[in-house]
Amino acid sequence: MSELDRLLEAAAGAEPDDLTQAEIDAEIGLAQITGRARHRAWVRRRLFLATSVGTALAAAAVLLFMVGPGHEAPPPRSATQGAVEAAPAEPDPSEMEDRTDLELPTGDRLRASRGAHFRVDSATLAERRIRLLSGAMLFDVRPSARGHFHVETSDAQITVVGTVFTVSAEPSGTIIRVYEGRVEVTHGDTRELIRAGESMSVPTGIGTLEHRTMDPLAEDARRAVAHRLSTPREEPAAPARPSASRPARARSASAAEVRGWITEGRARRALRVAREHVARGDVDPWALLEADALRGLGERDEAARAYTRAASLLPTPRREQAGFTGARLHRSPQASLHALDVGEVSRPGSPLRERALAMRADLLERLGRRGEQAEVARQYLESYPAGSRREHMQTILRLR
Amino acid sequence: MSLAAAPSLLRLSPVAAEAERRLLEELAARLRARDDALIERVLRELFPEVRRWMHHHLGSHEELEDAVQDALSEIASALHRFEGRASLATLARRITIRTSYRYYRKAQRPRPMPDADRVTSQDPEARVNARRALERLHVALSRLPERRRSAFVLCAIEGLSAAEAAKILNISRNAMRSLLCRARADLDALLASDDDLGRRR
Repeated sequence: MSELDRLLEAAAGAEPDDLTQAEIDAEIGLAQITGRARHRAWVRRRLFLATSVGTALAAAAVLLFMVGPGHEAPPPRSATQGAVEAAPAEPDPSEMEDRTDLELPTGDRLRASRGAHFRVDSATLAERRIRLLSGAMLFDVRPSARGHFHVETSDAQITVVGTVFTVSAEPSGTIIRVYEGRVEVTHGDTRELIRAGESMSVPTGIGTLEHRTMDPLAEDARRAVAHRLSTPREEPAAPARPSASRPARARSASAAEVRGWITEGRARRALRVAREHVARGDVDPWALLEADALRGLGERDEAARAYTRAASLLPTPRREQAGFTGARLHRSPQASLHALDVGEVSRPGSPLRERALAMRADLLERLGRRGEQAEVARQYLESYPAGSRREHMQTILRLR
Repeated sequence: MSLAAAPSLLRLSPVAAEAERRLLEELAARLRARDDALIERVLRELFPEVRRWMHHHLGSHEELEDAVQDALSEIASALHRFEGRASLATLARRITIRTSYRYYRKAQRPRPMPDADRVTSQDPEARVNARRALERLHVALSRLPERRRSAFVLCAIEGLSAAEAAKILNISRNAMRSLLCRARADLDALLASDDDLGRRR
């Protein structure tokens, strides 16, 4: 028998840890919830893809028509959603008569100068991202509590909350001029804030940021500030601007309701409410709900930190529960040990002491702290002489 | 026979007898209609299988439970659009393998946890040796390309035939045989050339 065959024999007989019925129920319940949420996301992606393809085709046809030779300046247009790429055309720096107006489904308005070459990478309330490849564009950005608006050029990344500004991508660099609000510009490791009335030039390659004055869309931008592009905005389907009524409604939700939201897959809403409570110092059980919601959103690392934080704030038995879950989620053994300590999960009387001692022994082995591991194994065997991990603990002591 | 009376839903096959095919069609229709009770039953049947499969693919990986949960969530999501073109077991195995790829990529080289108490022998020395053997095998497996590793785990550890494994990986039998030969040769070479394999992680 070859060595490989011997190893295979050992592998075939190995089974994972046994789980309790409660753990199995919890895992299956979580899978059902997450599965439903993922299915909904899958349906949304399919819809978005279908809409994007349709919109992109329509927009491409319209843009081709608009930038084609021999046409008059087109009327302002509106796009719904998706990827739109304007074909580059002959530059006409003298005037900005040929312009393309787009309105994103998020309520943001974009105006591209003739010859501007850009792409809408994402147009959801959670992420609005435009890539400007060349030419100049005006951005009239709707404030959103859910995510910033990003513009990327080859030289700079511009992040805004809600404002009116123009970006001009030129061979020599990118020029940003702010008419309302403020934007953050990142160029390599440098990050600068530009306020209303200021402008900035970002050179191609390595170079220093400097002020510039040229801007082909300046007049449009001034008009946009004054009139918000002259027509009233329609509210997007999901309100981007935090409404006055939302906090009141959120505050009235009970912890049981919020837990129900997490179970139903509405974790983002649950997270918002839980955070509001925690910010007001109302931590029990909201700190735990905040962590649960983050976990529901798949934010594993943030959830691990939130559980550890909750363990330091909550009374028993939620303290132990939070500490143990945080320890399970942390990727580094040190952080897991810290979570177990903060939650006092291994203390005598803790409902999770047996599992915490077993986990601690495994973590200490990974860290090579064999002396402490043996001590934990001794504690385990003293407290749980018939425990499910007793043989493992006996082996640890024997090897020591 | 009705779905309620069927002993297992996982192995219903679209290439079986007429009665079983009809059961599979009914199962697919009810899953697509979001019959929560049926989805839960399927997940309960699948859970131990998925854990076992994932354990075979990842070994005692530190994120094994997360990988299982991830795979199970993905399977639950796929049940909503299950069309019955293959058995549920095949669908679940494919998703489990795909999920295991992600966890392999995340932790370039997995770090198996001690596994001594999972081996059936009662002798502690034998358990320690078995644990080392397992670690050694899984470290060697982690150095194989994804498809080669999956093919090898399916046939050599889970005991599937080359034809069954080929169906799961959606490749021809000849391609499967080729993957298995290469995997075996790679593993033999790795184990022979590196006596410290499993201890140098």
